[in-house]
Amino acid sequence: MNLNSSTKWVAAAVACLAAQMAPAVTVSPNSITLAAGASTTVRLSKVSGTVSVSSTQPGVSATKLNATTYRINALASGKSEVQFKDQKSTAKVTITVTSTATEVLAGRLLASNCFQCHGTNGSGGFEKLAGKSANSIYEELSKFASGKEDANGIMAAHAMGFSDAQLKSIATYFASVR
Amino acid sequence: MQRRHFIQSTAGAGLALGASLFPLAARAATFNVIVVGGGMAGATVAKYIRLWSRRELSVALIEKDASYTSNIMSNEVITGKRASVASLSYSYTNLVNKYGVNRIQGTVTTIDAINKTVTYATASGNVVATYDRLVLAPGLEFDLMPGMTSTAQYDSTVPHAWKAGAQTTLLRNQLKAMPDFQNVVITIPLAPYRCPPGPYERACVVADWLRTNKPNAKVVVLDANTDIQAQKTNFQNAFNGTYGYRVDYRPGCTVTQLQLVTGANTVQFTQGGNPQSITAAVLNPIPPQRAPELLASSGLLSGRFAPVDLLSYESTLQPGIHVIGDACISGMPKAGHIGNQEAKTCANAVVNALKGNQYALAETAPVLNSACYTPLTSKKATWLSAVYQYNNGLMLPSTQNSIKQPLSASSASGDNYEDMEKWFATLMSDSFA
Repeated sequence: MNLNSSTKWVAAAVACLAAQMAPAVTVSPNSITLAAGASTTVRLSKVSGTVSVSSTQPGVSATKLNATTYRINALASGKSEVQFKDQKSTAKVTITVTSTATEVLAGRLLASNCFQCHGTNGSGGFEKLAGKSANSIYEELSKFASGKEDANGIMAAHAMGFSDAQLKSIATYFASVR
Repeated sequence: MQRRHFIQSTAGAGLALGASLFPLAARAATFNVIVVGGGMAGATVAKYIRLWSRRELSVALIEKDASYTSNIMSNEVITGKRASVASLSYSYTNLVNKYGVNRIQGTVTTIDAINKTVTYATASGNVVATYDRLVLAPGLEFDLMPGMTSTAQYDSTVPHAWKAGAQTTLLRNQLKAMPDFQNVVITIPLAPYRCPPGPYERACVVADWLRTNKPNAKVVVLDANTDIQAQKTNFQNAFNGTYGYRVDYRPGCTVTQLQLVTGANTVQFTQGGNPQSITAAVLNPIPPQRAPELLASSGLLSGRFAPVDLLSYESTLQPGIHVIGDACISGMPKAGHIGNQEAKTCANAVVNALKGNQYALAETAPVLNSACYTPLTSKKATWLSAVYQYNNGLMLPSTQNSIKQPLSASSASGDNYEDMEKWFATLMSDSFA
């Protein structure tokens, strides 16, 4: 056995063992509620090596301030998970972004296209929409728009005429109605 | 907050003194918004300006009639499926009691766009009211058909019944009274006219009624247009399949003369340049339509209808005056559901203009989603849906998801008929309750 390659092997094995023995990365806090447009910071501890950051939804982004501090930016209402993955493990923060008064107002005229069949402010008619979660309304509308649900029905015909952003805005409005 | 409405200028002395001092017009009140016309668009805009301004803008609704009679579903009165036009009547009570709209029964005679006043005639004389914004939702007026001398002939002899009311009942009674083996003749004007599928729907439900009640009579449809104007496949299937000889659809027909004789009218027309004539036991001429004379005399029209900015429905000819519903040029069908949504776009713009972004955001790209249901028999209906997106100053059929709008039901069904009744009830509540 070549001594040089043997040394490399031992070094690699030690590094690997060290990584396995290192404690998992953690993030604090791990659950945050923010208004759209606001931001806050989170801190990582027990980081092993480089960290990659990702968000499950585009409504939330994360910016690195230093090796252990990140800023969480709430862009649009909804729920997202920001994941910090180092060489050993992954830490997650759940972010709930509440809609702003402006977001709600921006969706009102769009959503009023639904009132003729779902009642003023979504109060009833074919189905009550007022106060349902934005996610559930948006997911249902998305299924209609993509033809995955009742593709030849009148709701599909409606939803297919709106952009994805417009459907989200409609959902935001109905979720805000109390 | 600052409520500016109902400042009575003639004060405690009362209207009698006011009327004697100012015999031409008493200055009665000032409102943030005056709405003229209490149909689908007018009722909706009054309600939503109150809602979206958090009741801070005062709104007056001036309408000459005591209540509104829905055109939607009125073909069912003609066939007796609905007992009477009274079942289609909607009062303004909810707008007054639930939303605080000031209801004025009167007829607007003049608009002064410079001084921002309207003059309206009431049972007790003329009144002048001032506004910050004026919203006109006046509906339509009807041309005389060739050979006619007075619109009173529509009320007495040949009802168009294209504005529901006494003419709807007259048409119903004429159908009941006509002998079998005769023709019902419906004429359709060139588009644009109110409710594109409406005339074809009427032909269908009348043919359905004839099948049981006058089995050897038929409906002759003389269409000035070269083709069916909405839901072509569904109506073609109904005309050719469901009704067969009972509906005789003739496109490209120009009416040249009507000879009115109750029970034995004659219609002269040309089709493809050939002069022809047909006898009609019941004649239902749907006339060409235009915005009312008040809008013409106020300098609000370009041709037959009022050009508007589709972000706000503000007139492009007279600032501070908005025109919504069938009287404006929107590029979209003239129909009640669409009038309701035009009213909301207008209400949003008016509230934004008078109260700012805290109350309503200025809209830069409105969407209008239209739905309508159409009975093809007394038990089955279809639907038509169209989404319009704002594009360079126009409302154009949406091209989202590469779908070609409008879309319609694949066929008439009983489920659609049930949905039609729920749609109608909810639409009317959104406008009047």
